[in-house]
Amino acid sequence: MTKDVISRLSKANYSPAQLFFGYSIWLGLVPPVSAFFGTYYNGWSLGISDPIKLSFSQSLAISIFYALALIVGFLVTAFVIKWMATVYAPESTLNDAFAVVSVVGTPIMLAGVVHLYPSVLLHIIVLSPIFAWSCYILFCALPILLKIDNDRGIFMGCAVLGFLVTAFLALLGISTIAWVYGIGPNLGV
Amino acid sequence: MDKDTYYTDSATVFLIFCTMIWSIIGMFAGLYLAAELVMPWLNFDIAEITFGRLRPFHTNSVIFGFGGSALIATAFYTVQRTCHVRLFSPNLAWLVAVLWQVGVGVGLVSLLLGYTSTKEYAEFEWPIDILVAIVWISFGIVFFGTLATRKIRPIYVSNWFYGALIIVVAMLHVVNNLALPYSWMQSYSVYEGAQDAIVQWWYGHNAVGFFLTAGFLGMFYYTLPKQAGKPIWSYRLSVVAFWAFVYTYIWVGPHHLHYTSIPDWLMTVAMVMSLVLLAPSWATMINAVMTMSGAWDKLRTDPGMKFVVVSMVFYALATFEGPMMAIKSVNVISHFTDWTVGHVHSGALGWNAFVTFGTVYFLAPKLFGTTQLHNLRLVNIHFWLALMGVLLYIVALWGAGISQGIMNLSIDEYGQLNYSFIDIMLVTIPYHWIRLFGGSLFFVGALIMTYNLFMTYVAGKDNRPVLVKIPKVNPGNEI
Repeated sequence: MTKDVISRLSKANYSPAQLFFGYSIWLGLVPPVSAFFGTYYNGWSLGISDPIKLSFSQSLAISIFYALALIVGFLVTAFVIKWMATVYAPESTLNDAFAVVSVVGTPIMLAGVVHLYPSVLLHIIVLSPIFAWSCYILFCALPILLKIDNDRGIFMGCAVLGFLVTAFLALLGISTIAWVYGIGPNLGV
Repeated sequence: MDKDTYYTDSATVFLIFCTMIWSIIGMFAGLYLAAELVMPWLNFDIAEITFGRLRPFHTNSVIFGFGGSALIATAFYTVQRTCHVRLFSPNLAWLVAVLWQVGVGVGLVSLLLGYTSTKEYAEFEWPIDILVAIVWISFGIVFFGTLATRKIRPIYVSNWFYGALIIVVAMLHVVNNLALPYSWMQSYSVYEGAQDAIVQWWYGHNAVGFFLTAGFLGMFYYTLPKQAGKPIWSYRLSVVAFWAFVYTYIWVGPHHLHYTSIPDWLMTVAMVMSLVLLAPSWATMINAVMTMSGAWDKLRTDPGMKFVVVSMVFYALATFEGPMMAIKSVNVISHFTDWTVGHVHSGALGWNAFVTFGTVYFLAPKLFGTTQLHNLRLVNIHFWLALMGVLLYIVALWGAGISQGIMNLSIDEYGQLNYSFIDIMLVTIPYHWIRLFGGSLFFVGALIMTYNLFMTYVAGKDNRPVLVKIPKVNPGNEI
């Protein structure tokens, strides 16, 4: 079924701007909006003691930055895929790269609802299978949307996955440095 | 028959089986430890299997048993093919292969019995250290002897990496284990206090660098072009990356000692060098990716190829994560948490084990005298079990590590710690269950692989011994 949906998308006519402003950006609002309500009303829970609640303005600021990070992340990933395609799929266009990011990101963005109850453990439990599903979609979508054979798709999928995991780690590192410098939780460092 | 016109691979075959046996022993110990973390009663009050003894058993058996056997096996195989000559001394090679198992085996039993020098990854006591040093130097004699008697002028890049592995690990092992013996199984390090810590982590991180990275890169630089059926994308880049790697790695050990009583400048140097290390690591990764590009169809024909492709993803991940965790501001959160454990396993399982599995799957039919592996479907099952296992493992430990890191440092408005040690442990339990599950998947994959290799070996019994004639060197390349 997943492959049918992707095939239909590959036959549709759209521009990157249409796809981005008509679909992806709205879907991309789900995690930050959920995160705002989650951090303001419920608070981050580490699994013990009282959840860490943030003030209205802090929650709003973090959610806005989160939304911006997702938008930038979307665009950067699309351009990275286009760049990688020079090796793996020279025939593909920027449209195709935008389509790949949109379909791969859809389950993750929808799963952003989990931010409404910000518990680290809940996130791991909910997001792990969702990430696995998105990986599956990535490997399905690349050959169909970029019009390459499955073998190339697997190589390129690994390269894209490597980029995404590295980007995730970089964000984790930046967040950690931000915490140590006093943004976020109150740490004794 | 003139033996000198054929390669000799019997020690390699023996070592490949030792690799798989150690993988089962070592990974089972790891699995049992993961189970003890969530079910502490599993030690049954038996001292030998308490966490403190079983943990070094696990690390030493996977690093030196599994990793060491795989490295020696592939070094023997590779150095012959890339030098166009038979091993320098096949008998000494066999002695190395057998005594390595004896050294590691005796060492592991001594750890379970409670004899330990207490230095991480160098826990073996002095008599075993001496045995290991003798075996290692013999390994060097076989390897460099073969290199010295080579028939081809260039020294292929794999051999540079294997050579660095042998020389640097010998140096690290001897220097770090210098001790004054007190009895047969008791000794005292010649270093004291902070100096001891610096020497220990100079050893510890370079064991990661030269044992688990340089050696495996040697394996990888031979296997990948062979599997892809084309030369390395940029040979020059591989050699430049080698020298950059060797120069940079040796400095980074003190990043294990951030915010301790060692000199501050040393921590900063280690941090900076760790960040610089990203360049040669990623140069290697890019070289690999470009070498693989174009070899798309090999995924269908070579069952081990996907292991090697994925090992590159984890290599990129681990070599990015490592430098990042060496930044002091990140380390203050990540140190003493499960994030570090997850990082080590993304390297050890995702990179080292995957590239070993890919290489062994590639070599096994050639060495065992069959045209292909016993069951290709089992290879696929192994691949997905291992991939899912390692992903679950590291994601769970990211969650655990970050929670622990924040809780360790979290303070209230009076500056008092918000959470006790017990609070933090309680929060960690669910993640450890997920990690146990992920580890189980990986372990089952290793069992399946061992069965598959054994059946492949049985299937090739009529075609052994496999005799591979040493090809002639192309004109102009002779020595």
